[in-house]
Amino acid sequence: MMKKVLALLIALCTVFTLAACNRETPTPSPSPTQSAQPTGPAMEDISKNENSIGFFSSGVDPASRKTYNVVWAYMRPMALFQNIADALVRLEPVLNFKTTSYCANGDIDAMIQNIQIYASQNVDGFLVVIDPTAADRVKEVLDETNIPYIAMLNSVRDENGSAIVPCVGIEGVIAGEKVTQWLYDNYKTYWGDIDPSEIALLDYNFSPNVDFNDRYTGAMNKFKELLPNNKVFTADGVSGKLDEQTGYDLASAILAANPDVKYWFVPACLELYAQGCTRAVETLGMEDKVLITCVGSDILTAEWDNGYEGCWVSCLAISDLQYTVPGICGLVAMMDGKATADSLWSYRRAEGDQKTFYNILNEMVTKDTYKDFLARVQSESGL
Amino acid sequence: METLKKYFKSNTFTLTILLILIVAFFWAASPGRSYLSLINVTNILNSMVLFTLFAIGEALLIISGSVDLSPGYIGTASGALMTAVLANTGLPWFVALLLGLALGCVFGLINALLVNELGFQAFIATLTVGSFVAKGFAYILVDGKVIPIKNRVIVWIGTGRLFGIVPFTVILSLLLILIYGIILAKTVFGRTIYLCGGNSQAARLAGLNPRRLSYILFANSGVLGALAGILYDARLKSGNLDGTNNYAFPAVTAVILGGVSFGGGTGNMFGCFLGLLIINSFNNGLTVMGVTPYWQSVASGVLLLLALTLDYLANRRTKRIKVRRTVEA
Repeated sequence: MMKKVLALLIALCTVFTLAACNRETPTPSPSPTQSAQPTGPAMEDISKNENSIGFFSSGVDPASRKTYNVVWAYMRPMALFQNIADALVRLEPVLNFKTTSYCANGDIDAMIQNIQIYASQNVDGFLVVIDPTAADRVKEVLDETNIPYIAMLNSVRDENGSAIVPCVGIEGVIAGEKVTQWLYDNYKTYWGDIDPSEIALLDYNFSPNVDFNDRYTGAMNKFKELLPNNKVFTADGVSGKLDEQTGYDLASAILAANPDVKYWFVPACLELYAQGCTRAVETLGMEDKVLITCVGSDILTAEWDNGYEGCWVSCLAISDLQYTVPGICGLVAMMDGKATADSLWSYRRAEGDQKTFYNILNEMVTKDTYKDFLARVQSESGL
Repeated sequence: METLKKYFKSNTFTLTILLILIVAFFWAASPGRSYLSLINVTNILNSMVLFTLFAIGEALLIISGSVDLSPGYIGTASGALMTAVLANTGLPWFVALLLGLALGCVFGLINALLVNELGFQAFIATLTVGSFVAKGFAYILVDGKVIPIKNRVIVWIGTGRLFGIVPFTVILSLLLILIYGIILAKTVFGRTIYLCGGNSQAARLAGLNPRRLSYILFANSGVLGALAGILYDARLKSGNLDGTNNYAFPAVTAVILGGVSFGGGTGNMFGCFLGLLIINSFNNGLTVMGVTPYWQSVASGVLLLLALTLDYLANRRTKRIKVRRTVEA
C-alpha cells in the first residue's frame, strides 16, 4: 500500500516536472531598476508634482514598460497592513505592477531571510515596515540587494536622529500632541463644564518602538503643558503584545486601581490598544468618565460603520491610501530610474535628515466627519 | 545490501522521497528554475540554522522520554544577557558570550531540578521556567528596550560568510548536528539515551542513571537554546525582546516529522535534519511562488499532516509484517 502511494506521488511529480520543463523559460527582461539606477549628479525631485495625498507620475508610461514585481513586507498581522495590501492591489492596474504580500508573523529574522529570498527571485522593489528592533540589520540587508525600497510607517534613523531611509509615515510626537490637544479642546462637549483638575491621563506606549514611543511622548508632553498638575499614568504594552488584549489588561488594571480619579483622557498610540481600552471601560461601566482617542482610524471607522457610539470618540484619521499612494508612487519612480532615495521627496525633507520622512497629512475625525474625510482621500488617490 | 534494505524500509526513506518531491515541485514551478540556485539553497540552509540548534536539544530530550518547551525563551534571555554585558560593561566579547551560554545552562539545570527532584511534569516545568521566568528575565536585562550590538566579532559570528558565500552560522549548525548525530548513533552515551527513553525502569535496573542523564540533557538543551538566542541577536545586531521565544515549537514539529517518537526511545539526527530540511524547503518554496502568508501557514500544516500520515502507514505496515512473522513462527 505504502509503495503504491509513493509510486503514485512520484509518477505525478515526474509528469508535472516534465510538463513544467517543456515550458519556455522566460528570459528576464533587462530591469530598468538595475540599468537606470542614476549615478550622476543630483537628480531633480520628480515628486514635486504630487497631489494632496502624494500621487504623482514618474513621467514613464506604465503600459510601456514591464510589470514590476513589488513585495509588501510587514512584521505582524494588523488591519492596517492588510488594508495597505488591498490598496496596493487596487493600484496595480494604474501603475502596472504586481504585489506579493509577506507577513513575518512577528519574526524579524524570518523577515530578513525572506527579503533575501525575494531578492533572488527578480523582485523589482520593496515596500517594507522596518521593525525598530533590528532596523540597522534590515536596512543593511535591503541595501545589499541593490533593489529600490521604501520604508512604511516606522522611520529609520541614525544615532543623531537623522532619517536614513525614505519613509512614509506620520510624525509621532506631533501625532501624540494632536490627539491630546483634541481631547482637551472637546471634553466639554461630552462632560459639560467639569473641573479640569479632576482629569487624569492614561497614556499608552509601546516603548521598544521608536514611533509609538514618540506618540506617547507627544501626548504626555502636551497633557503636562495643558494640565500641569494633574495625575498621569503610563500603560506600556511591552509587557504584553501589540494587541487588543494587552490594551484591555492594562486599562482595566489602571482604571480599577484608581477610583479617586473622576475623569480620564486616554490617547492611544495604537488603535488596538484603544480598542482594548474601550472594552475595558465598557466592562467597568465607566463610559461616562473616559474619553478615548487614538492614532489611526481603521478599526474605529469600521466600528462607526456598524453603529458604534461609545466613549472611543475620535481618532487621528489616516486613510490606508495615504500610506499606500506616496509609497508606491515613490517606489515606481525609483524603479523607473526617475528618482533615487536621495532625490525622492527632497523638497519635503526636514533639516538634518539624510533621506525624507514623508509625513502624511492627517486630521482628527469623529463619527460625524470621518466619511467626508475618507471620500476626499479616495477622490485624490488616482483610482 | 542489508543496510540499503533497512534504509528503504525506514522512516528516513519516506522523508527522503517527500523531500525530493517537494524540491522537484518547487524547482519546476519557481520562476526561472531559481529554486535550486546557489543563493536560494543558501537561503534555505540559513533559515534552518536556529531551528537546527533547538531541534538537536529537543531530539535528545524527546528520545530520552522528556520534552523541553523553554529553550526559545532561554535563548532570548541569554541573548539579552550577552547584549547587556556588551553594552554596559567593558568585558570582552567572549566573556559576554560565555555568560550567555552559562545562563542557558543554569536555566536547563533549573528545569532538570524541577522535573527530577520536585516531580514536575516536564511540560509544565519547562513552560513555566521559559514563558515566565526566562521571558521576564530578558525584559529586566535590557530594561524593556532594544540594545544595539556593536561588537564586530559578535556581529561577524551572526552575519559573516565563509568565502563570501556560506554563512558561518550555517556551517556551525551543520557541524553541530553532525557531531550530535555521531554521539547519538555511535557512543555509549547515545545508547544510554535510547535505553532510558525506551524503558527508564529497565535502564535503571541495568545500572544506568536516568536522573543524571536528564540533568545533562536539560542543561544541553539550555545551552543550545542560549546559543541560538545569541546567534539570533548577533544576526540582527541587537538584543531583542521577543527574540527566539517562538522557535521551540516549530523545532519540536521538525523533530517529530523527522521520526522521533514522543514515546521516546526512537529517532535519529539524520531524520531530524530531513524534517528541518523539508519544513524549510517547503516554506521557502511557498515564498518563492508568492503564496500569501496566511495560506503558507495552512499549507505547512497540511504538509505536516501528510508526512505524519505516511509515517503512520509505514509503521502500521511494519507492525503487521512483524505480527504475521510471529504468528508464522
